[in-house]
Amino acid sequence: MRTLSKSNSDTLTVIVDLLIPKKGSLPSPSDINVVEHIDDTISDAPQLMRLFVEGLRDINDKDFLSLQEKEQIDLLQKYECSNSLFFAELIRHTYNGYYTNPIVVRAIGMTGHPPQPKGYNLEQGNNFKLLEKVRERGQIWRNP
Amino acid sequence: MDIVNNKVDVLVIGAGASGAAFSWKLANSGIKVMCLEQGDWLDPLTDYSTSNSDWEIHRQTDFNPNPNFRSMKVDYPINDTESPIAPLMYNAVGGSTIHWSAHFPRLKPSDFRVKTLDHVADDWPISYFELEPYFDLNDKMMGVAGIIGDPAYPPKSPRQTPPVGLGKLGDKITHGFDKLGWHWWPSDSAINTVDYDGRPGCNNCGPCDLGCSIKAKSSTDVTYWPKAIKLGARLVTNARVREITVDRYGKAKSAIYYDSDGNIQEQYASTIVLAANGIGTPRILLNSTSTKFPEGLANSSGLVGKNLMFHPYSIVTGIFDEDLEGHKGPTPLNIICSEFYETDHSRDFVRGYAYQVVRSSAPLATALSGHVPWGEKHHEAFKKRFNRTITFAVIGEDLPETHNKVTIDPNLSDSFGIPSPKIEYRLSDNSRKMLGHGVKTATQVMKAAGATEVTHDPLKREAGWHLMGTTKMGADPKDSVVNKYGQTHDVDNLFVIDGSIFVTAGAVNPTSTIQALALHVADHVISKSK
Ligand SMILES: Cc1cc2nc3c(=O)[nH]c(=O)nc-3n(C[C@H](O)[C@H](O)[C@H](O)COP(=O)(O)OP(=O)(O)OC[C@H]3O[C@@H](n4cnc5c(N)ncnc54)[C@H](O)[C@@H]3O)c2cc1C
Ligand code: SF4
Repeated sequence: MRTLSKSNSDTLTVIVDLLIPKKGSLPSPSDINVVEHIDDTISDAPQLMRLFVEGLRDINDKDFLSLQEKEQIDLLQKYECSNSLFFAELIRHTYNGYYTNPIVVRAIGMTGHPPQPKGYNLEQGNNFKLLEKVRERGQIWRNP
Repeated sequence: MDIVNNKVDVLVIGAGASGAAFSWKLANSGIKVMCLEQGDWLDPLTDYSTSNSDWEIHRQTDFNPNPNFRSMKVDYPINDTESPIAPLMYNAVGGSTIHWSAHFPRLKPSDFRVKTLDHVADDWPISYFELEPYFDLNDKMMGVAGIIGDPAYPPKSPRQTPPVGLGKLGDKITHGFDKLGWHWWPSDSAINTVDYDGRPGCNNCGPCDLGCSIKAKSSTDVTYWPKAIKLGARLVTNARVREITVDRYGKAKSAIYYDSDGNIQEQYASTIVLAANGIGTPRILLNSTSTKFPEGLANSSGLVGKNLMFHPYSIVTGIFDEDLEGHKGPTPLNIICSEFYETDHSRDFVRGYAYQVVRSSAPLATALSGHVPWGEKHHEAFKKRFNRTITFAVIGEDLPETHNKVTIDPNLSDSFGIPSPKIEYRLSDNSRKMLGHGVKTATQVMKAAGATEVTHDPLKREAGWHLMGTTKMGADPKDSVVNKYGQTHDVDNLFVIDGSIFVTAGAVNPTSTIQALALHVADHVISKSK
C-alpha cells in the first residue's frame, strides 16, 4: 500500500466487500484488488487522501472489524447519512475499481476488452424500412 | 511585451469547429491565415483512453467535458454557480469536437424566422436557403452519415456515408415511434460509417465522447486541420489570447497572448477573427477594454456576453426487460424525433423540441447512475439496467434573454492571471413547459416500445454542450454585435464566427450550422480581400 495503513486497508477490504458482495461468477472487490486501486488513486490526490484516512479512522474508532456483519452494514448506513461526502467518494472509487476490471467486465457479459481497437459488430437493424411510412406522412418542416 | 511578431493577413483565435472550417477556406483561397489556439494537438492513438481497461474513469478526470472538473493547464475556470446548467467544452486543436457526439443536424428553415412566424426573439439576417451551399460544402468536408428524404427538412444532397446502424436497441425504439405514428429519422451524423476521405469507417466501439482513436468520428483535428495546414495555414498551439488591441482609429490591431513558456507575445494582423466559442469569445471581447472601448471591444450595443443560450435538456430513460446490446455502436445512436419541433399554438409554449436517442450506458456509468445501490441488492439493480436502457435526450429551444449572460468574474482568473468568465442563466417558463411536454411524450414512446419502467431528470445539469448567442448577429448595430457576415458593427476588421453569433438556438445541435456560417463568413472575407 502506498498510503493506507494496515488497519485502514483491513477495514477498507471488509467495507468494499459489503458494498459489492461476491455473487456467482462476480468476484468480490477484494478478490480483484479494488483496495489497491483506491490506495493508488488517493495517493495522487491529497484532498481525497485526507477524506479517506479520516473517514476510515472514524469507522475504525467504532471497532468496526470486531462487529457482526449485520452491525457493520448498519454502521455503514449511518455513515452514508452522517458523512455523505466521504461515502460518495467511497462508492465512486469502489465502483471505479470494480467495473473497470476485465474479470468483472467479462462476468457481466461483455468481451472484457476495452472498446478499442477491436470495437464491436453492430447489427444494421431491420427497421430502416419503416422510414417509408414516415416519408409517406409528408412534409413536417415549416416553410417560412 | 516579450515577443512581437510580423503582421499576418488574417488571425483566427480558436482552432475548434468554426476556426478550422474558416481557416481551411481561407488557406484554400491563398490567403495567409494564422490561428492561435490555447490547447495542443492530441494524438488519437496515444492520448485517448479507449484502448485501456480504465477508459471509463477518464470521464471523471482528464476527459470530463466540464473544464472546472478537468482543471488542466489548457483550461480556464468558469464560475457557473448561478446557472442550473454547467457549460461544457474542450480546449485543444479540434476544440469541443474532440468530445462531441457528432450529431450533425442542421437548423431548420423556420429557426431563422422565429419573429415573423411566432412573434418571439428575432429573425436571423440570413436564411436557411442562403446557407444551404455552405451546409453542403461542410458536409463534404466533415463526412456525414445519414439518409436523405427526411420530411422534417427540405431535400438535401446525398449523404457521404450510410447511416449509423440501428442494432437491436434501435429496432426496439423505432417500433415505439412507428406504433404512435410519430416522426423519427436517422439523424445526420459526422461519423464515417464506411471509409471516407482517407479515414476509416466506425468500428462501433461506443464511447465517442472520449475521442475516436481510429479517426472515424469527424473532429476538426482530423478533418479540416490537416488539409488547411497542407494549404499553408499556420496553427500556433499553447497560445492563450488575453486581449485584442485597437489602433487609434479603433481598428483591431493585434492579439496579445501567452505562449507555453509564459512569455507575452503580440501578433499583428489585418483582420482578426474570433472562434473561441460562445463563452471564450465574449470573454476575450470583455477583457479587451481601451479608452475607445471601455465596456469591452465591439460592445457599443451592450450585448457582448448577453443572450446566452444552452439548449436545456431533459433526460428520459426507459428500462426494457431484454438485453439490447446497448454497448455496441456509437453511444449517440443518432435517431432524431422532430414530431414536436415546430410551434403548435394548441400547446402552452412557443417553438419546440426534438429528442435524440442514446444507447445504454457502459458498465461503470450504469453502476454510477444513482440507480444501483450498494449492498445486497447491488447486482440485481445493475443487471436490471445494464444494456437494457434506452435514453432520450429531450433538447429544447431556449429563447434569447438578456439576463442570461457571460460576464467577467472579478475574483476568478486562469493560470496566466487572465480574468475568467461567470455565467448567469435562468430557465424560462416557456422552456420549463416545453421540457415538461417533452418528458410526457418521450415517456409515451418508451412505453409504446415496451419499456417496463421510465425515469426522468427534468433538467440535466452537466449539459451545457451548446454555447450560443453571446455576440448576436443582426442588421441593427443597436440591437446586435455582428452583421450577417460576422463582422462586428463597431470594428470593421474584427469578425466572430463561432456559436456566439446565433440569433436564436433552434432545437438541434448547433455545430453543422456554426460551421456553415463560418464558411459563409470566410467567403465574405475572401471577397473583400480581392
Ligand atoms: C461533450 C460534448 C458533446 C457535444 N456533442 C455535440 C453534438 O453531438 N453535435 C453538435 O452539433 N455539437 C456538439 N457539441 C458542441 C460542439 O462541440 C460545439 O458546438 C462546437 O465545437 C463549437 O464550435 P466553436 O468553434 O464555436 O468552439 P469550440 O469547438 O469549442 O472551439 C473553441 C476553441 O477556442 C479555443 N480558445 C478559447 N479561448 C481561447 C483563447 N483565449 N486563446 C486561444 N484559444 C482559445 C479553445 O481552446 C477551443 O479549442 C458537443 C460538445 C461537448 C462538450
Ligand atoms: S463508436 Fe465509432 S465513431 Fe465513435 S469512437 Fe467508436 S469508432 Fe469512433
